[in-house]
Amino acid sequence: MYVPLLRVRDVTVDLKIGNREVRVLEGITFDVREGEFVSIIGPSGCGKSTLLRVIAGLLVPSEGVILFNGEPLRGPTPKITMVFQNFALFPWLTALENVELALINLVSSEEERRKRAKEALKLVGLEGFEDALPKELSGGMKQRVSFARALVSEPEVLLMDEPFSNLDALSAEHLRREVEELVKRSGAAPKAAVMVSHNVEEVVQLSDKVLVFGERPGRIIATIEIDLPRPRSPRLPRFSKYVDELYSLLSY
Amino acid sequence: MHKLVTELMDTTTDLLLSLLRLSVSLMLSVVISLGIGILAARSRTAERVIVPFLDVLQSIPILGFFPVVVYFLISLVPGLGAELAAIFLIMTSQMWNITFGVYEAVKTLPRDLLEVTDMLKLGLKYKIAKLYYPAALPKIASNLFPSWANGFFFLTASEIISLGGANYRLRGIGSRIMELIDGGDYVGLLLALVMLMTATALITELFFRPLLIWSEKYRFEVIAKPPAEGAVWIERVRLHRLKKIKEKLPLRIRLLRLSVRSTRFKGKLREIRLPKSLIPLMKGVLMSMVTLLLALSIMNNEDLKAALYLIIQPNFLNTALLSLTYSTVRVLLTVMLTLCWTIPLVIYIYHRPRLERLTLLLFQTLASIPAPLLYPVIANGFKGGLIELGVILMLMIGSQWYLFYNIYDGLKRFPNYLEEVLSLYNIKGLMRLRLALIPSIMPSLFTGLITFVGGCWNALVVAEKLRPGLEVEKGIGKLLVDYAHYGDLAGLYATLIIMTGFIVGLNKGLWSTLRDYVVKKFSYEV
Repeated sequence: MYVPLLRVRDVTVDLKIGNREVRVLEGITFDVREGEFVSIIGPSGCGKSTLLRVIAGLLVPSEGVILFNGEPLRGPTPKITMVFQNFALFPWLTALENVELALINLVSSEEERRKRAKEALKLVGLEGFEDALPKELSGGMKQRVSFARALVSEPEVLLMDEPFSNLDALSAEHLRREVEELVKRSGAAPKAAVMVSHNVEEVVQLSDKVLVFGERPGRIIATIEIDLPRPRSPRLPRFSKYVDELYSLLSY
Repeated sequence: MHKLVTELMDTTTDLLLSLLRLSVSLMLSVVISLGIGILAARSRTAERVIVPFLDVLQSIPILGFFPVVVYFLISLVPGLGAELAAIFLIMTSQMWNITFGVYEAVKTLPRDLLEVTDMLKLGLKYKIAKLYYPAALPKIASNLFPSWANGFFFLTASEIISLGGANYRLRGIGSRIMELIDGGDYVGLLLALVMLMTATALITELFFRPLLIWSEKYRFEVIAKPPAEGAVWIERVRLHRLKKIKEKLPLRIRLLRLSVRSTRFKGKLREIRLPKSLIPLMKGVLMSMVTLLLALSIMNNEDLKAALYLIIQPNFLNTALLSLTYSTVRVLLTVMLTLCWTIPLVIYIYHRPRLERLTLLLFQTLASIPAPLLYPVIANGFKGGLIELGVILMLMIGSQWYLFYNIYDGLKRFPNYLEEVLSLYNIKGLMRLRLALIPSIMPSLFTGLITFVGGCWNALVVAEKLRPGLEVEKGIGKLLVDYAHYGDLAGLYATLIIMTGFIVGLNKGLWSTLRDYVVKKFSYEV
C-alpha cells in the first residue's frame, strides 16, 4: 500500500508569548509524497516557521501528529534535516567541521565522518574550502555549507526556512537551480522537500504543491498544485498566472 | 537594650557617612567625566592625549596609592586630609567607565545632528545642553551602578587601611565592621550587614533603576527594543505598596548586567585603537610610568629621587620581584579557582530558568556587600597556616561577581538558531560543551578576566596584610602596606612603580592580545 512519506495530521500549536497563550497554528493537515517539492507561503507571523520546526521534531505540537513513513515522529531524526535562513553555522568551526557535526551521532569513525563531509561539500560545489571559517565565506557559500550539512546524513525530507532570502540575487538564483536538481533527481536523497518562503516567484519556480496560509492562527486557506514542466521559465504565461493566483490569495 | 539602640545609631551614622562620601564622589565623578569625555570626543588633539592616558590610569592599582595620597593631603589640609584622600581615591575608581561611556556616546552621535546644529549656527552652550549631555545620559545612567559598587569597594578598603595609620582614621561602615569583629560583636555585625544590604537595595530601586529607565528615552536607537526581562530580589518581597511602585515602572532591566555592559564597551574601545604588536605594550608601560612619576613628583620630589635610586639596588629589587612573584601566583590561583566554579555554574543554570532566577537573586544580594567588609572575618577565620587560602578567598569575593555575570551574559547570547541545530542533530553532553557552549563564552570570559584580574591586584593591597599579625609572608601588597606603615616613602614609591609597571605590562602585553585573538575567533557574525 502506498504510504505518503510525510503526513501532517491536525497539527495545532499553542505557544506562550509573554504572558499569554497564543494559538499559532490550527488544524494543519497535508501530505508530502515521495519526489514532491512542497512550499509554504503566507503573511508574516502566521506560523510557517513554527510548522517547519514541528516537522523537524524540534517542537511538540499541542494537538495532532506528524507521521513519517507511517510512524509518529517523536523527536529529531537524521532523516529529516533543515536549512536555516541565517545559515546557522558555528563561527569557530571550519566548513568541514560544521558539516561533520551532523554525523557525530551517526558515524563513530572520525575518518569516515571526514570522508563523507568532504563528499557533501563537493556535492554543493565547495571542494577546496573545507578549512575555511564561516567568516571567510560569502553568503552564498555559507548557505552551501548549510546545505552540505543538511544533506550529509542522506535525509529523506529536506526542510528549508527561507533559504535564499539572505543571499544576493545571483547567488540565490544559482543555488535555487542546484537545490531543484538535488531534490528532483530520483533514487538519491533527499526524497522530498518542504520550503517556507516569502518569494512567490521562487515558489512557483520550484514547487509541485503550494500551501497558502492565512493570518494567525495559521490555517491552510488554499492548496495549489503547480503543473508546469521543468525547468520552469518565468516568461511562460502560465507561470505568471500561477504567480498572480498566489498573490491574490495572499492579499485577500 | 539601651546599649543595642546606641549601637544601632552608631552603625547608622557610620553607614550614612560612608554613603555620603560615595555620593559626593559619584556626583563629582559624573561632572568631571562629562567634561573630559566630551572634550576627548570632540577634539582630535585632546583625544590623542586623553584616551591613552585614561586607558593606563584604569589599570593602575589605585589602592596602592592610598597611603601616599593620605600622607600628602594630610600635610596640606590637616583636618580633612583623610576624608579628601578617600574621596579622591573613590573618584579615581569611579570615573573611568563613566568617562569612557561619555566619550563613546558623544563620539557616536549621528552625523546629521551635528551638521544641523552647525548649519543653524547654534553655539557651544546649545550643543552641550541639547546634544552632548542627552547623548551621554544613557551611558552615564547605566554606568552609575557599577561605579557605585566599585566606589564602595574602594571606600571600605580605604576605611580599613586607614585603621592602620597613626594619625588618620575614617569613620564609616568599613571601620565600623572592623571594630565589631574585633569586639566579637557578631550580632552587631549581622545588623550592620543587613542595614547595608537594605540601604543598597533601596538606593538601587529608588534611584539608580528609575534613573536608568528615564534615561532610556534619550537613546538613539531606531527600533524600539522590547523591555528586557528582569529579576530583582525586591520582587520577592510581598509588600503591596512596593508592588504598586513597581507597576508604575514599565521597563524591567537586569541590574548587574550593567556592569557587564560597561566592561564590554571598554574592551571594544581598546580594540578600535590598539594594533596587535609589541608597540602597545611598550607604549602602555611608558605612559603609565610617566603618569606615575608625574603624580609622585607633584607630591614629593625628594622621596621620588630616593625611590628611583632604590629601584636599582639589587637588595630591594630582589625583595620586590620575589614579592611580586608570590602575589602573581596568588592571583593565578584565584583566577583558576573562580573559573572552576563560575563556568560550571553558568552552564548548569543555563537551561534551568527557576534555578537561574534564584541564583541571580542570591548573587545580587551577596554582591551588594562590598567585599572588604568581609575581609576581617575571613582573615580571622584563616589565621596562621591557612592565611594563603584566606587571601585567595578575599581576592575571589572581591571581583568574582563580575566574572560570573560576564560569563553568564556570554552564554545568554548563544543564538537560538544554533541551539536548534544542536537539538536537530541530538548533540548533547560533553560534545555540546566542547563544540558549542565553551567556545561561545570565550569572548565574554576574556573581557571579564581583564577586569577581574585588575580587581584582584587592587584587593591584594588590602588582603595581603590586613593588620599586623594577619599577613602573608611575602607579597607585593604587603610590601606596599609595610612601607606605608613605617613611613618609608621612598620604598613605597619604588614598590608602586614596579608593581604598576608589571600590571600594565601584563595588561597590554598578554591580556589585550589574548583577548583580541579570542574575540576575533569566537565572535558571531551579525
